[in-house]
Amino acid sequence: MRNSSRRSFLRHASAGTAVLTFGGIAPKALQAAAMAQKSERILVVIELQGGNDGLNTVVPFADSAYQKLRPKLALKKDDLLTISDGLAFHGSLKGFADLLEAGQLAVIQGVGYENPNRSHFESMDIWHTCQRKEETRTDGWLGRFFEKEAAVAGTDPAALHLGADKQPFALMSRTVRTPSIRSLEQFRLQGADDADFRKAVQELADAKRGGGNDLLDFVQTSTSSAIAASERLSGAASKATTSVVWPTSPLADQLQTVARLIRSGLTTSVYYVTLNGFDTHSQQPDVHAALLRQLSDSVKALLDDVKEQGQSERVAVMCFSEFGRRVEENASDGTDHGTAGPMFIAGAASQIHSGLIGDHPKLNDLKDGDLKHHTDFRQVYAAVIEKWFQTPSSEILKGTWTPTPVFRS
Amino acid sequence: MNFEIDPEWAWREYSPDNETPWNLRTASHLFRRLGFGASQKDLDAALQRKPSELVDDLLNINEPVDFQREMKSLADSALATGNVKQLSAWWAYRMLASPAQALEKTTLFWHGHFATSAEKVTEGQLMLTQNELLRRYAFGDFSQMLLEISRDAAMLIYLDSATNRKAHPNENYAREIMELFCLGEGNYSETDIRELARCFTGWEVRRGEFRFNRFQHDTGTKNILGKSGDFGGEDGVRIVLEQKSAPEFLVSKLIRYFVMDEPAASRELIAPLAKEMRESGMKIRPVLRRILTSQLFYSPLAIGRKIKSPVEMAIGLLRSLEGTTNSFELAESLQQLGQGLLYPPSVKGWDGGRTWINSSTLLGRSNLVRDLITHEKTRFGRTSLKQYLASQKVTQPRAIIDHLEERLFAVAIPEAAKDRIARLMAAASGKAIVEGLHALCTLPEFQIA
Amino acid sequence: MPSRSRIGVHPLQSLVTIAVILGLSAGVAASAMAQEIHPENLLPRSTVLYVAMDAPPAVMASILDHPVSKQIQTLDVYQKATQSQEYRNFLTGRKLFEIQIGGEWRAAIEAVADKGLYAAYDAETKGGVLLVRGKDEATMENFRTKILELTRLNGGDQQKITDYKGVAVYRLPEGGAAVYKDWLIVTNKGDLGKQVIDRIVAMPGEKQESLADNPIYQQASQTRPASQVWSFVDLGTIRSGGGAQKVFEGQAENPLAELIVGGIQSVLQHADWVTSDLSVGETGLTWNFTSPLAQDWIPEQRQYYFGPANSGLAPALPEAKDTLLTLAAYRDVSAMWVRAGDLFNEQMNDKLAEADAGLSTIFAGRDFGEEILGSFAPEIGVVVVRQDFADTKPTPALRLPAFAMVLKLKDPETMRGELRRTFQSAIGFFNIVGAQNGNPQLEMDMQKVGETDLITSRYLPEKKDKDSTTAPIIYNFSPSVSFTGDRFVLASTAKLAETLGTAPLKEAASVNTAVELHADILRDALMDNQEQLITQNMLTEGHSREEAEAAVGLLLEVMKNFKGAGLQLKADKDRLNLQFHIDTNTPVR
Repeated sequence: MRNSSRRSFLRHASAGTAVLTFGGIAPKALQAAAMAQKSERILVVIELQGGNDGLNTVVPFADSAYQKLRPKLALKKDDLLTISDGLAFHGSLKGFADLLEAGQLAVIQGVGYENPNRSHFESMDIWHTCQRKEETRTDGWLGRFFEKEAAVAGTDPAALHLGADKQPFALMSRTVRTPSIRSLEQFRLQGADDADFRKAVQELADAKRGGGNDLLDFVQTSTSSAIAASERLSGAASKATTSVVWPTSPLADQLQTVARLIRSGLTTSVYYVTLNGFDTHSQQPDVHAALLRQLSDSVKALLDDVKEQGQSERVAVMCFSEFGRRVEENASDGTDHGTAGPMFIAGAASQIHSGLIGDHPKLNDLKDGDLKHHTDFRQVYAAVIEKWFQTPSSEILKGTWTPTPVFRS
Repeated sequence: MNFEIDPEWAWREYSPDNETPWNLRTASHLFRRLGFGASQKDLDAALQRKPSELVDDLLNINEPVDFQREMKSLADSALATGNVKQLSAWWAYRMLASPAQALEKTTLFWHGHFATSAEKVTEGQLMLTQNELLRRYAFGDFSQMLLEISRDAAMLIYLDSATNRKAHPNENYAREIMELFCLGEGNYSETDIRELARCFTGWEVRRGEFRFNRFQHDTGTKNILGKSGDFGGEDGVRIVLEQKSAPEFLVSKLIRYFVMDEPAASRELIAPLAKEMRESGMKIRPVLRRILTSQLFYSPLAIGRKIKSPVEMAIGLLRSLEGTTNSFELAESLQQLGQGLLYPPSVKGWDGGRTWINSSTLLGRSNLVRDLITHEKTRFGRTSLKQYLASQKVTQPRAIIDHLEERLFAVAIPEAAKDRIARLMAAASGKAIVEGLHALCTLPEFQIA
Repeated sequence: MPSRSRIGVHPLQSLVTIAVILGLSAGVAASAMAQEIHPENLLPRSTVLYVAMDAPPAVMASILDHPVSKQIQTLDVYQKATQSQEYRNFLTGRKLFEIQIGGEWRAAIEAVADKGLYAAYDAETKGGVLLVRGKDEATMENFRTKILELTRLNGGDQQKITDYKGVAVYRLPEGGAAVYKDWLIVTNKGDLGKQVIDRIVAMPGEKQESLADNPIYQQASQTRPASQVWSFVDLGTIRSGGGAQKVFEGQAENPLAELIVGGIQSVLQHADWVTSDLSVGETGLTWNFTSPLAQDWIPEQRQYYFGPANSGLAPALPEAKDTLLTLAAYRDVSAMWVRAGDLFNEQMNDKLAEADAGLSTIFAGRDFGEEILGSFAPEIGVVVVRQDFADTKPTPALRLPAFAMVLKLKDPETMRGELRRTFQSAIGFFNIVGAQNGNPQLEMDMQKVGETDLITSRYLPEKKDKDSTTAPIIYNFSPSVSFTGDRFVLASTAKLAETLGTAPLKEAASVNTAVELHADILRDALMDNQEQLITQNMLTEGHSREEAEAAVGLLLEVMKNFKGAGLQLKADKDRLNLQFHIDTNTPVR
């Protein structure tokens, strides 16, 4: 009989609406939500594309070899911001110097990896995936981290990439998608300038559905929280609540967007931005100075902003580049692709070990004219994953690495 | 609580009755799944047919020669610009204009299955060649499709397999053909991958074309999945396909794509169709027919049990209302929402289901709808939305809401929500329809198919 | 636009419509007036903007009866615009107006504005005024009565009519309207209206100061030519009032905009006035802008624009068949580049520094601004020609025009070699990058044609492309350079490098900048790509093929009416003149 056969589609289930609630899913979602609560910490990654000249960023001005190998590009003591005896920041890094002074900046020197590759793309891929070309690379270190974190589908994304470029390999994952956004506008509900419309969609999204379709219930809670996020963001962004004077530069614009997203209470834990132009083969001085100024002023503004929000304990900023540059300058007032360079991690004074970490690579001990690294970049990643995000790192980093002592906790 | 779906019940042919009548709602369900959405004309015609007849119509319709020629010339001129993004817009246009939407929907399935991204391949012609291959075999012989995709230039470039030397067999394609294209994890070993990779040595791509370099082919004996011999690439593909898990893997993916996101189909549910697929010689059309004419497909376990992908959402909205728009911006928006045509995020394709949803994509979806319906290039039935709806004799807020609900929604909208939207429309004099449709499409129900 | 108010929508709509219609015909015009009342005498001395059209019917005829406007009305964009709610409201208003006036709108306007249409903005009252002079007193009286009836019919309020110096003034929500003899006066500020009426009713010897007494206006009107529409702007007053600041600011963030308008901006920062005159006729349209100019107005960092003593002249360019567009200008780009620090903000300078670094890499470490740009004279030219693929294979599916820069070398002897080597290494660089991306390779060749040294490069077609007529886009290019005396040509094709290297120079006008577009060649170039235009139209408009074919066909049809368009910027000792013109083909009658 037709009716009985229809009822018999569920062999082991009781009839009625109860069968339409797939068991198990709600608890799992709750569990995941609880896990998301565990880490409220935020990492802002700034990728410096093109290969930053570390030697003219953290400058060993007192080293005679430095003056000798860089007759034109060597920076003079008077133009620099002293860190310690013999070491100083590039004069444009005023923001970094202030952060260091305030105990908010860790400078990790001599970071690189074994058998360095000097191609931009290959070296960048190595930094992003922690794997070499010979291996099959399908995901990035942050992507693998998001998989471990079991981000809750339907809530705020685990990570956001800001910018119009191709999404960084580091964020790639087989299961977790990271949205790329070009501006804050994408997080604002269109038509929301109309109060009635805004009110209506919020009400409509907030109403519980019932009826036992848990896909629908899932979308309903997600829609409700998305519209709420948009609402908070409009509020946070429209009210000029920050007294921080943000510089005007592309990087500052992006980091300001990050600051606003953090302010709006998004649960996203990683923000990724890029700054291009570090491939200074010629006429390096002006370009490099401009880029470093943009970088350090923007990072300083970001940290000031989150401090004002009372959120500085939650936020850490990490800056890296795919390689440093050759020690010896070239004939066109520039430098060519090199190897090791410094990384920067900035955050609240209570959270990080501010100051220099590791020695400056020696200029009298070069390999093929390049600096030797003493810290593998994966040690810094390990610090981020294990100490900052309190997650085991060996699977994510495809190996066991001793975390660099950057974080206090 | 665990439960299983009774296969015997599930795959029995659906025949309309009082409980599940063949009406606007069930017919538009079929179009949403085996297509993107049904226009009024589609629905009027559909209700004149029996469900199984309609499925046969949809699965067997051939694109008119004129349409194919038109699309070819459109693709050629998109390629002439040298900008691959143009091809993405071309496909969006094709999806909107095609008289055979079942074919486009199924081609999209295979594109997600054999995911290849123009981001890496960069050459439009190769992407187009692959796209045409997927369309050619969409309902046809899976064995043949698999063999050709294994020699497809775009695929091999995408999987870094454009060179494959015997000294260093490239395991990438060997891995993906087993893990993602045919068998699924757990149905092969790492040794199988290594041995299969040896079969493919000498397969390479030069100047955009596949060729076999016999000097680089490993002629030794390979042991794959229990078979041994001096296998070449063709043998390798055949052996993989002979595995029992091959049709099971495919059927389970088809069920997930066409029937329901959750729960994953059980082995028992898959078994009868996998058997049939194997017996039919791995033909796709018969198994699709079985799925789409089944009791399961028209049951509450299927209707409203999928989350729309961005393409399903946007193309579906437009097709249901005979909409046309700027294809470039549409394609770009789809990419923003995570489903760029010809730009899948990884070789694994799109995961679908709940992974489509987060606060960023939901706001993006809502904003895309607003953009679409207010865009100056968007027309419905070649006219404005208001005039189009008027031509269907719907003018009052409540009538408009009911009309749209019937065509665009798989699950019913709560009465209170409809009242609220009607009030919103009544208050928004000049732009009532825009506000109303936008609010409707921001409802959680709209994301469900 | 006034919003809904107590007096009801319809009369307002009609009034707005009249204003729009009058405004539509507004351009302005000269030809001294024989009548005793000149509009300059009616306007306050503090008028900062004045637009005059002495013979509106003729202007309307030139525009509305031109075959081009008829065709434009069939265009897509036009059709779309006319579907808008605003346009439909306008039509409704116009219809009401026609019913009331008892005739066709155009005839009515021609009668009402028969002898002139003038618009002005007064700085003191911050008000605008429209002065319309009709055919005769009877026409205006009739017009006034009908409008009042119209207002009454729609529930207008008679209380709105007041008397000022014997003239009946109809008060509008803002300002008012009045008819005096053959004049219609409409203003949005009562005080301004009063001032105009004061002057119009004044007895002949009762002299009141007016715009005509403004010395700046007097100076400006000396340049007034015979034209259909003439306008005057008191720039000095606007500037000191802080108006339109954006116009006067530098292009701190945009070097391209700086190159295009930088010099003009310096002039606008000092000039007391700007006038413009517009002439429309069967052969097209000419629009002139004139302002005073003094040498010391141009700051040193902008000397690159007009040259020393503002004497820089655009160069003569060689002539090529099928020229689509030419641009000739005097711009010392090198000087601009090195003075970037004074011209642009910090951010832009950072970007330029970055570009400088990149470019210097390409130019083998030479300083881009000083050494590379500095080796060219400030006279620069750009030539764009339609390509003829008749006997070239492979033929690209998308057929782009060829383009070239024509430059003058300061020191041909040294620079020839330098540039030749730079070109060679650039081609080598392309080939390496091209090979990495799987693109075909460029093959180089050198030859001498008469006095011209030619260095060409061509893409070696791949086998599959060899005889193709739908080849990839790169086959539009065969990057080449040529040297002839001090003439240096950098062209996108070998053929154009040769043509421009060997062709004699055309005569050049003595201007700073000249741009000429040849519409017939542009149309041919579009015709070459008709299929592309159709398909792109389908993709961007969501059109079906039929719709796209119709849209493209129409565009090409409308283009047939155009001969070309152009722009000239000329700096004399004491005048700056910018002319813009569109030439139409004379309609066949």
